[in-house]
Amino acid sequence: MKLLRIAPFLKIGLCLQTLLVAGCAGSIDESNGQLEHHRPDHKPPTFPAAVEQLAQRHERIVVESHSNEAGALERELHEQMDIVNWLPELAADSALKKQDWEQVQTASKELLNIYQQVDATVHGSPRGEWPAAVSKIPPIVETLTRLVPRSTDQL
Amino acid sequence: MWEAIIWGACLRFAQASLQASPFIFTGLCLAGLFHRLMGQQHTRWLFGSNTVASLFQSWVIGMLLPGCSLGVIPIVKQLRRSGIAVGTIFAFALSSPLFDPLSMLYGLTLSKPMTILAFAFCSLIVVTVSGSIFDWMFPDTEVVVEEPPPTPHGIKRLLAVLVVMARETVGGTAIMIVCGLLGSALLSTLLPPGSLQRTMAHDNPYSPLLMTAIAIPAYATPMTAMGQLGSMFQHGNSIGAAFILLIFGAGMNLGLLLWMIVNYGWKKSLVWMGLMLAVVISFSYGIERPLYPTEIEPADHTHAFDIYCQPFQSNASPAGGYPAEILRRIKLETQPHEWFGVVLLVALVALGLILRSLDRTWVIETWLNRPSEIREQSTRKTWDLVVPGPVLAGVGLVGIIAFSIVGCFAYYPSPVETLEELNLAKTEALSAALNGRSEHALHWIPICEGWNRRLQVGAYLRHGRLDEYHRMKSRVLADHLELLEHMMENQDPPEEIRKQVASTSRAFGRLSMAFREELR
Repeated sequence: MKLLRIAPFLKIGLCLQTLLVAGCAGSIDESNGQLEHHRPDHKPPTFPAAVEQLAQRHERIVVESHSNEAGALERELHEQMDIVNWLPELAADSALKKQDWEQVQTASKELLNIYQQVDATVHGSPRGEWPAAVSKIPPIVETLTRLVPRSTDQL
Repeated sequence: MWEAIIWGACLRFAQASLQASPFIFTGLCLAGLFHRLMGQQHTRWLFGSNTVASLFQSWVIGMLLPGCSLGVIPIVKQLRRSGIAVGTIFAFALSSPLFDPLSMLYGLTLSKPMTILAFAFCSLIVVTVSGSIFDWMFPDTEVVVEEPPPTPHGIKRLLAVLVVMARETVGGTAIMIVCGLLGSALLSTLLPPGSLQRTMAHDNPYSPLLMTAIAIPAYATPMTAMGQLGSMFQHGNSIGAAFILLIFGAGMNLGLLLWMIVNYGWKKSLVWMGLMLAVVISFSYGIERPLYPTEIEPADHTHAFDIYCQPFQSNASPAGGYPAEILRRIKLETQPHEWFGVVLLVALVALGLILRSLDRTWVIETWLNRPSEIREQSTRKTWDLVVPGPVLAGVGLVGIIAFSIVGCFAYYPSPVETLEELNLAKTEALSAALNGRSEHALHWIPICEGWNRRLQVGAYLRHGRLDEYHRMKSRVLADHLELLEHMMENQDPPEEIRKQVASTSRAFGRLSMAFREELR
C-alpha cells in the first residue's frame, strides 16, 4: 500500500526529468554524428614545430608592438601564450627524457609569466612600456631550440 | 525502435546489478554485524544521533567503509532499527558511496587532486548543514524497535549474522535495491544513445541542473563516478555538474529515496530532498569558477555519460539479436570481483528462500537464540575466551576497512605489471584498428584507457607521489587513444587511421620507458 502511495511522486519526477533532458535528445545529430575534439589552427603538431613557431612569432610580436594596431598584437600575443602553454604536452609527446622535459616545463612557466606581463602593458591605456624581462625570451627560446634534436623519436 | 529501448534497459539493469553486487554484499555483511554483534546500543554509540557531532562521526565512518548507494540500503535500515536519527543516517548514507580507499586514490591522481579534496570537504558541509536543519525541524525521528535476544557466543553467533544477511536479500531491502537498479534502466529509456555527449559544458549555466535530473535516478559505483569526474576535468566540463554527479549520482538512487518515503513518510522525505537539493545545487554554482581548471582546453563532447543513455541505436539492431549482444557485452565487461559478488548474492538469496520456506515449521532464530549448555569452566581451555559481540563487530569493521586498503594494491598493480596488461590491450586495440575491425577496437580502447589510469594510481600508491612528467606521458597516451576512438567511430579513411595507430603506438612506447626507467 505504501508503495502505491508513492506512484504519483515517481510520475511527477519522471515528467520533470523528461522535460529537463528533452533538450539533450538529438544533439548528436547537430554535427551529422561526427565527434571530434576541436584542435585550434595555431596548435603546432610537434615539439620542434612549436619551438620554431615560438621564435618566429616572437619576432612578429616585436614588430607588431611598434604598430598602432592593438588587435593584431593582442591576437598574436594570445596565440603565442597558447603555444607556450602547449609546450609541456608537446614535449611529452616527443622522445625527450625526464630531465629535458622538466627544462621545457620550467621554460614554459617563465615564458608564460613574461608574456602575461607584456599582455598587461598592451591592455593598458596608454600602452605601457614592455617589462625588462622581455630580454630573457630569446635565451629561453635558445634553450628550447637546443633540446629539439633530442626530441626526435628513437623508438 | 521500442525493441532497442527495452533491450537497452535490460542491458543497463544487468550492468548496474553486476557492478553493484560486491558492494551490496559488503553492505549486507555490515548490516549483519551491526544487527547481531554490535547491537543497538553500541551502534548508537558508534554513530551518535541527533547532534552535529553525530553527523561528523557518520560522515567519517561512511568515508572509511567501502560501499555504494545500493549497498547502504541494508545498513541504513539497521541504523534506523538502532534508534538513530534521520540526519545521522543520511550523513552516513550519502558519504559512504562517495569515496572509498580505491576511488579516493584514483581521485588523488587526477590532474587536480585539490578538487577531489574540496569535493570531500563540501560533502561534509552538505551532510552537516542539511542534517542539522533536518534534525532541528524533526527532532523525533529516532524509532524504538525491539532488539532480538542475544545469540549465545560461538558458531551460532556467526550463523546469526549469516541469517540476517540471507533474510535481507529476500525481504524489503531487496525490493528497494531492485528499485534503485530500475532507476538506471528507466533513465536509459529516456535518453537516446550518446545524447549527453555535448552537455555539461562549463559555460552552460544549466549543466548542474541537468546533471541533477540525471544523477538522482542514475546509479554509479564510487569508481565509476570518480572515473567520470576524471573525464569531466579532462574535458573541461562543468565542475558544479561534476560535484552533483558525485553527490547524487554516486550517493543517491531511487531505492534509497523509496526507503526514506516508506519509513518516514512524504512530508519528511520531501523536506529532506528539498534541503539536499538546495544545499548541493547552491554549492555546485559556488564552486564552478574557483575550482575550474583554467589550463584545460574544453572539449566539445565527452563519452563519460554514455553509460546512462540507451546502449543500442534504434536503426541498427545487433547481428546476432539483442539477447546475444547483451550476453556478449556482459561477458566482456564484467570483472572477476563482480562475478564473485553475484555468486555470493545468489547463494544468500537461495539461503534466504530456504529459510523463508522453513519458517512455517521451524524458525532458525529460535534455535540460534536458545542458550547453549554452559560448559564447565574447568573443561574450557585457557585460549577459549568469550569475545564480546561488539568487539567482534569492531574487528569486523576494521577488517573490512583493512581489506579495502589491501585491495588497492591488487586493483592497482605495480607499474611493470600494469604496463604488461596495457601492452596486451593496446596490441588488441591497435591491430583491430589497422584491420578495420571497429567494434573490436572500440571495445579495447576504453580498456587501454582504464589501464592507463591504473598505471598512474599504482605508481602513486607505491612511490607516494607522481610527478608531472609521468602524468603528462599518461595524458598524451590518453589523448591519442581518444582521438583514435573518434576516428574509428567516424569511420575515417584507413590512411588516417594508420597514422593515428602509429602515433598511439609511439606514445605507448614513450610512456612505457618513462614508467620503467624514470620512476623514482
